[in-house]
Amino acid sequence: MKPGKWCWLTAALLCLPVLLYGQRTDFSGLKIFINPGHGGHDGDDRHMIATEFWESEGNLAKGLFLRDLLEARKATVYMSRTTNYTSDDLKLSVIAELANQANADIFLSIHSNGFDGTRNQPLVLFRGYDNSPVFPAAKSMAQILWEKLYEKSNYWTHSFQWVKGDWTFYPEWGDQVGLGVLRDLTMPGVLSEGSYHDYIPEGWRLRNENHLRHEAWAMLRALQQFYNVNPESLGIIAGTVRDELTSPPYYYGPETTDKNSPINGATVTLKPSGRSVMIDNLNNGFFMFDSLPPGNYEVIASGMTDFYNDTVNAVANSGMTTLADLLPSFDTARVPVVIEHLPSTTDSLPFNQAFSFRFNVPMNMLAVQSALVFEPEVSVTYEWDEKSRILTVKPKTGYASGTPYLIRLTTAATSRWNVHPAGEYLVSFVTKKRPKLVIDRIWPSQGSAGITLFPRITILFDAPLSQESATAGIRLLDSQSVPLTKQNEQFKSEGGKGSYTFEPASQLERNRIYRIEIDASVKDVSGISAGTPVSTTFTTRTEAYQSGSVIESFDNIGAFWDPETSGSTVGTDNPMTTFTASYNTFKVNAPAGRLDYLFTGDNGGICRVFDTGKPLIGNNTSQVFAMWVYGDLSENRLEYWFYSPGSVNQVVPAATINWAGWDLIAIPVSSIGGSGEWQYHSIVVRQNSGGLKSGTMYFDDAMVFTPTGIEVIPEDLTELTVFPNPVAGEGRVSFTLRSECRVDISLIASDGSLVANIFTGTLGAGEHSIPCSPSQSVAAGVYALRLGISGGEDDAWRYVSRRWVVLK
Amino acid sequence: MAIPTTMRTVILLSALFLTISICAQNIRVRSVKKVSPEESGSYLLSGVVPGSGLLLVSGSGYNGLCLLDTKTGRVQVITGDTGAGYEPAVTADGRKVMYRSDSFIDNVKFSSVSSYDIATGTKELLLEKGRDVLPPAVAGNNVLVRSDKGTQVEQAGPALKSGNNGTFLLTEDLMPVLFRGSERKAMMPNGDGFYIWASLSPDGSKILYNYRGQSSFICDTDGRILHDLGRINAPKWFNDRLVIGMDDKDDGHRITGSELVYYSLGDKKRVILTSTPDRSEMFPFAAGNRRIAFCTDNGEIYMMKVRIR
Repeated sequence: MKPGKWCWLTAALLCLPVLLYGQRTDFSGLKIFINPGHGGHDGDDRHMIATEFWESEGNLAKGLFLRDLLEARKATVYMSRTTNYTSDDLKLSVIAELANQANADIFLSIHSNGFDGTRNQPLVLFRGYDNSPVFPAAKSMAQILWEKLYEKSNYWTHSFQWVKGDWTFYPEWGDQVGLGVLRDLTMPGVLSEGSYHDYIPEGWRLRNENHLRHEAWAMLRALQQFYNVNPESLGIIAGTVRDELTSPPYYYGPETTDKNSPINGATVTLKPSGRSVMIDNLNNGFFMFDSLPPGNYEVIASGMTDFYNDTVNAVANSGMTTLADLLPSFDTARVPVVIEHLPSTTDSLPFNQAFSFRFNVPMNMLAVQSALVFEPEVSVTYEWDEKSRILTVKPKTGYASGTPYLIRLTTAATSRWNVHPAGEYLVSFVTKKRPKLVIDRIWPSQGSAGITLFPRITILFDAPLSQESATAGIRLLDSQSVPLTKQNEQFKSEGGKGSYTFEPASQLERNRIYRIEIDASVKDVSGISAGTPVSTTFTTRTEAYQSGSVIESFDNIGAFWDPETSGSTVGTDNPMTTFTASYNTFKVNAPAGRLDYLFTGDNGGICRVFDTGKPLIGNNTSQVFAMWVYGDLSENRLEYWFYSPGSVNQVVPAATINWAGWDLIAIPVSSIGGSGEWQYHSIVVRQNSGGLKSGTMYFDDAMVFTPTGIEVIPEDLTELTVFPNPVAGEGRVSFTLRSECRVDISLIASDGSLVANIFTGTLGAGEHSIPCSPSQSVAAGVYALRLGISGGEDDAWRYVSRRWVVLK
Repeated sequence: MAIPTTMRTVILLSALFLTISICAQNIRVRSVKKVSPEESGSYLLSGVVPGSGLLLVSGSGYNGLCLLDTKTGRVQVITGDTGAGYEPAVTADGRKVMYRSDSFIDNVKFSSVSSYDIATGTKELLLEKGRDVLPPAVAGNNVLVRSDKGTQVEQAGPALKSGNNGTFLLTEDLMPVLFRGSERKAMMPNGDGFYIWASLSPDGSKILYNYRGQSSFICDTDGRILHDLGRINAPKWFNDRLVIGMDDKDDGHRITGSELVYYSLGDKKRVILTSTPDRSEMFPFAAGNRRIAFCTDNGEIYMMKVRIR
């Protein structure tokens, strides 16, 4: 054989494996269609308030990263969008037709998932039934993609392979209906739900660019395997930097790496490459180094306050991710120091003042408590934060009146690692002279009107009460000065203060004056008495309560999600924040829903209870949506959340929670945004600045009804006039507001139906004159012009109306 | 000056013709009837065979292609090929169906084009399996097929005495392309961006298309925009003066509703034709001059009788 022929034969043999197995070196000639799901921050986007994550943004970032990776490997890539405006939110039929016209070989729709906030795992869907895919190759791709998504991370809450046909997965949508974007495709298509954005640790990770890029790498690997393209020769090292001593304040999978709080702002360096990355401050602790030559590396975390540098060894492998998590140790040799104590004021402190001490390192709690001395001696309680760095000391009963005190923290205190402070820490203060028991608040307050017929009378004091003296010396009297029987008396002591509450044993009468009397003999636990008697009066509501069509009875407590899993909940202490069935306190029939909540911050907390039943409330804008709510005087805001068609969330402020006991809290259906058949889906307590951080509320029978005897605004509050009357051309509705209010002005027919909404919005205090021409839009006749206001001191909706004759 | 009688006749006829051609047309629904067999699964509507009462239907993923006789409900299988139901074309004489068949070799898409004689049931391969094969386009009884190897025109029946015999429209790389004799003319009437659902008017003078998924348009064959139809998806010519289509809605995952709409070139207005919250009407086709066929999101086929005014 001639030498030239040997060369050809050798070349042919070398190519034989490629010919046999169709191995590709890149994606040349292949058309890949990428659909980043949703688009624009509009109604069908998914927004997570807790992490400020928008699904449309995450999907797009992943899609753009994948496009770059594919094009660098010679694929022809089509994308349904490359920006994130509302105009990018194409109809699903348009996206499918785009892929069809592009004659793509494969279609990949990129999403993230949401459920109940406790789940995090990949889900990949294809068209068809589980075992009968429309395109068998789509199921193969889905299985490959799921494996690649799963193996790139170690913070999943579930580990089973979740690959489903859309017809099987969504049976409630109808047989063979399934996902709209896969419906009309002429090529294999998959929809990837890469992770769960409502699982808060993952929601924070989805805001990390490297995390999104990492998912794009996983999708690339899946496509390489699907098309038999040579896998990457380079590898990835990725991981997280976390605090081994603490856990995050939100839900995390107890068996996952998310049980350790991420460390923000660390610098992670890779040796020998010398590459480094600074972790963002978005509570994810995530880092990634991609395109690494295979080999051994040192991963070093540094630049962290209070933590030692930490190093792990990792081996980068071709076409794979090596996970390298770092749990840097705390700097245990640091000398403990009190960074701050509160309050810093030293004079005239309340008799029950609590003190907090913040240390620079976790402390030995027992050693600190033993080393903390009050002079003169005080019996105190101790509370520590979960990191053992903040100690709060409270007197059990109280300090002496007008007395100087010294708090001494001796050097016997130690850090958790037995390091003593360099010197003593001293705090001196003088207590306020306290000659008598002070009443901080009485509810209902003096002269208040419109009070519920089912109140819980509430009196707050500056000290815990002597229960015997309060039971005997505090009473509720009717307009004939007859004392009413009390029930469900409760005494509470919190923060050194005291409260006494009770309910009248029977329903109060409408539009009657009642009086609360507190005797001079009522005293606190230390024997200091009120000294002088106190009396306040209030007036009950004028209108009877209406009942209507009950759309949620709160009897099926399993239909409700706890706040921590309801999504949108933020700033709550989850073990202490629950929604359960109440068989002791209910309004109509047991059970009612009971919400116990504890906000962790001073304001901005959101506590949401999701009702999976999502009952329909209809589309009649002349009706009212109402619910029995047992208020807790928290001064936080109660909101009702609804879906308008298309699952668009509509938030309606219902009231400031400034009442105690049962009251029917109503909103006009016309105040709900959107149109069509609304669904009620959530109760939300939104923490106001200055509102209570904790409380208990109850909920019973949510309903809709057409208002007849609606509660009216006192005439002098509004001075409502309509002019002219009768009206044939342009008329005006004039009124005065005492403070800024939400206003709803509607024209109501004689049968109670809403015929025209004239104005909805917020107006400031003062005189207002709204023009309207009812004769142009309604038939001639007699109507009621209804003015509704909500806001000011009371967020409940109240109405006043005027008869208005409309001529043609 | 006296006008000769012949000239007068021409002027009068021209005026009459102009009056007819600019007279606005509107569609009114007379009745709607389900025509897909109850027991036979889920269908996509792929087209209409002119003058026959036959519909072209396919299965999920536009796989397979069948003839559905709307009078008897009988289904006749043309082919079970993958993708055969996506944009099949029928000759003007209603005798032959042209369709593209897809196969995935090592997950890569290859396609061929075949014709099917409705009367005899015979099939003929028009284009061998290859890459980047476009759905066939028909003008009169002529068919144009195109792949990465080039373009070929086949005569599939006798030449028409009137109407469009030789102007074809394809969509190449998301852009309408006009083929007329040896001329190939790429059209981008709205500039950069993608174009889908493009089709020629029955008289071959106008092009209907959707631009960037936002709005549908009509332009002439020189690319001058004549009409902005608004949001009409999957637009199809009903006749030279009316366009039908769908206004579909979704929540990013599922179809939440869809209604049929039409656009009257004479009135320059878009009208909603159906209002059925419990049924999602999609992908309509003109089935003669008094019927519209459409399918639903759950795979049913309906025939709508209409009155044109």
